[in-house]
Amino acid sequence: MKTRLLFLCLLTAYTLLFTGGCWDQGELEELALVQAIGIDYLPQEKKFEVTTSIIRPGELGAGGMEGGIEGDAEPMRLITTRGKTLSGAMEQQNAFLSRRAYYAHNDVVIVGEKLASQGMHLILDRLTRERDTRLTLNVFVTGDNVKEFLRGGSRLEISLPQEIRQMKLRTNQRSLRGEANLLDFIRNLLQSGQDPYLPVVEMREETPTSPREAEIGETGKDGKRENEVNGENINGEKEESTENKVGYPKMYGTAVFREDRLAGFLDGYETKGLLYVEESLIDSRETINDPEGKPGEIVLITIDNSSRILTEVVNGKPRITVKIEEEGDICCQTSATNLFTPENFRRMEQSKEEVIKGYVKDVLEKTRKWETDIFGFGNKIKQNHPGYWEDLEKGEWREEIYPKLEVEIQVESNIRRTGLIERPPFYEYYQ
Amino acid sequence: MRVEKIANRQFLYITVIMLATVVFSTLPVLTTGNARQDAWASGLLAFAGVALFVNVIVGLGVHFPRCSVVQVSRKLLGNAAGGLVSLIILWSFLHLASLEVRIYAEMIIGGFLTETPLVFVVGAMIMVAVAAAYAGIEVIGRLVDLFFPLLIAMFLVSFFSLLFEAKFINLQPVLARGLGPVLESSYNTIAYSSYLMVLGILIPHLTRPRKATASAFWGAAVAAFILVITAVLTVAVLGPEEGFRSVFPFFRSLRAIRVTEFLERTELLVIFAWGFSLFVALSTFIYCGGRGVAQLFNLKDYRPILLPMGVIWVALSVHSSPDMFEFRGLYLSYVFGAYGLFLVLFPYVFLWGGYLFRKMTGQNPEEERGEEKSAER
Repeated sequence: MKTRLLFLCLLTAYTLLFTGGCWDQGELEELALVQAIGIDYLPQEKKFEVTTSIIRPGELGAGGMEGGIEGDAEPMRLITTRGKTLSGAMEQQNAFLSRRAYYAHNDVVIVGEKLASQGMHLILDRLTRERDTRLTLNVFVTGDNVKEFLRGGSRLEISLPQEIRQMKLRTNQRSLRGEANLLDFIRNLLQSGQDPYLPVVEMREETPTSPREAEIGETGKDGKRENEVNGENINGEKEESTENKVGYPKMYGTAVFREDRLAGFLDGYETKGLLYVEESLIDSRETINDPEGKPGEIVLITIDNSSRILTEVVNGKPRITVKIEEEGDICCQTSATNLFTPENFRRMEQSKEEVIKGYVKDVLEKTRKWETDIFGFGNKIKQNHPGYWEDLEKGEWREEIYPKLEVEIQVESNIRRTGLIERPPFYEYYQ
Repeated sequence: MRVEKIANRQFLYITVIMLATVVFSTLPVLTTGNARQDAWASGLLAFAGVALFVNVIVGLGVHFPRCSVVQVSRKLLGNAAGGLVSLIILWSFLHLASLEVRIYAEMIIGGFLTETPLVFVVGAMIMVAVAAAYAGIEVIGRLVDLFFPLLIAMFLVSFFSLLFEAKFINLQPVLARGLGPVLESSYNTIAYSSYLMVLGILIPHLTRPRKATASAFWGAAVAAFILVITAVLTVAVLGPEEGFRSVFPFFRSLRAIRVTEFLERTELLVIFAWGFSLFVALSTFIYCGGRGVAQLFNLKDYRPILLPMGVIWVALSVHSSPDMFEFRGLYLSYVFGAYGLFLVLFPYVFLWGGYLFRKMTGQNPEEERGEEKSAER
């Protein structure tokens, strides 16, 4: 009995000794939590430039409690280093850190245009091999200077990385950008007959709402940005330049790749074409002309959408049919037409079909020029006609067949509801 | 000395765990060979192969419900030849168990505890396994009763969470390149039936030894079911190419998903499940090894040799290969496939040969039902 008791005591002591961890223990206050990584390539030096955005623990904690940025300093620490490889550049960061850089909580990777056109293979291996990154990582491409981008401020969330992360998570499917994370990118890249794409972020300068914010974003002022911001196409207005402008992030458009190299950008409207085919769009608003040709427009929402890609090979030539089915409501009318006749309903549906077809055709046209198959038509052919696919030579699909591929786009629109009112509240309507 | 007894149900659970542990974590149907998106078909084929080996291994054992395979081989082939044949079986326990614990340690060190020495992880696992084997097979049986529902629950939760990201279109085209690649990929998995040789030692400890084949068969079926679902979901989530490139594909596919914002990192479940089942597998291995050695050398008790065996085992596991490259080389189809099949076929060809020879020459090799002979020793 006594020996048994002694044994139990020893066992408990042993467990206590080792469950705390010996070699790999890590305390939270020993870690520098990286929130965003920006990576770009410098073609002249042939070097990577890595910028990490790290939480400054005191600042963020205090600010978060009071529901805003209350500290006097920035919530994030930015470190920029260079190296021959991504890993090498990341190692250099240690020279600036009092804590161990911890990448497992990082969710945002921003890739510069130069790196993306050089080829994503330069960083993909590092991002997938080491245990500190996950395939759920959100990767973005930016045309702006990566280093300057990460210096931007945030409007709704506590810091820029948080803002980007929440934009990606919360506005999912309501957005005008390609929906893809690292896993989707790799899956599309490795699939033969399919090319990957990534969402685009860019910087847009605005006058901050309070002078305090201007101080916080002050670091963003120095250093001239390389690319001019071209993000004004939504409302078209350019704000007046004042001293205290701060950059704020904007997620808009799609970066299209040819294999792992950047081929070009799609803007928000073209991205809709991609999203309709990928079935990942809801709450999209399409503007059409009045069905009777009167002045004014009608806006229709897409509530639900589904699509199918049908393939057939006729006489050794592939043919693709894209079938998109969507349904939605009327959300706005500025014309004075009575919409509630069967003819007008059908006309509206037809015009909406034309608009959606136009989006898809735009993307198709562009990607044919770039020789990149982001819809994955080739992959569909491979799945449905493996024999035909085996006979193709390497590169033949992308360079010869896809640009001339016969694609039929069929859209079926259904307008289901009218919103809360039937007729617009103008007096002309009754005349 | 009383013969320790486990229920046939517990025997079935042990069979599932022996087969599923390494197979679901390294997923050889996907990572070896060329089946790619048809990995599930390889899983089904592998089940056919494993079912055959269940009949070879357990089918012989049920004719001798009171003897372990070591005693059977002496009975059938005589003392010297029988001893040599059973040495091969005992060697396979030692080596397969050392490989299994090494894979687990490599995953732990590669994925979580980078700075922890290999010998510590391996040693810790083997120490608890020795402790469990010291307590005897009845204790291991009750342990399995406890763990198995947990294990299944963990599998179900991880399968369910994978469904959120699964794109089943990745499984197409189905069997487009014929059965060749599928066969090639199932080869390695069939070789895992060498793990089932422990059942030869366990048969005399069953409450109903004559029903052992059915139990083992259903165990293999459950394991195959788990394997097929794992393969399907891994391919659906990662895509066949990325899955093929991974060291631990199932684990990786779980790392690649986010169920919701507050439910992520579900791979922990699989690590726990793997740890549990590895513990059961290792204790079964060392228990059977200890029993077998004791019977071979006519020892009274198997317990005193467990600790020395554990030390040899740790050393073998750590020193069997210096790095992951060499270790992965061992698991290539044409290495492990051939090795595993040899481990089963070589002893059992002799054993079945001896059995059939005795049967044909009219000496009844089977035990008589009423014969009172202890399975101990």
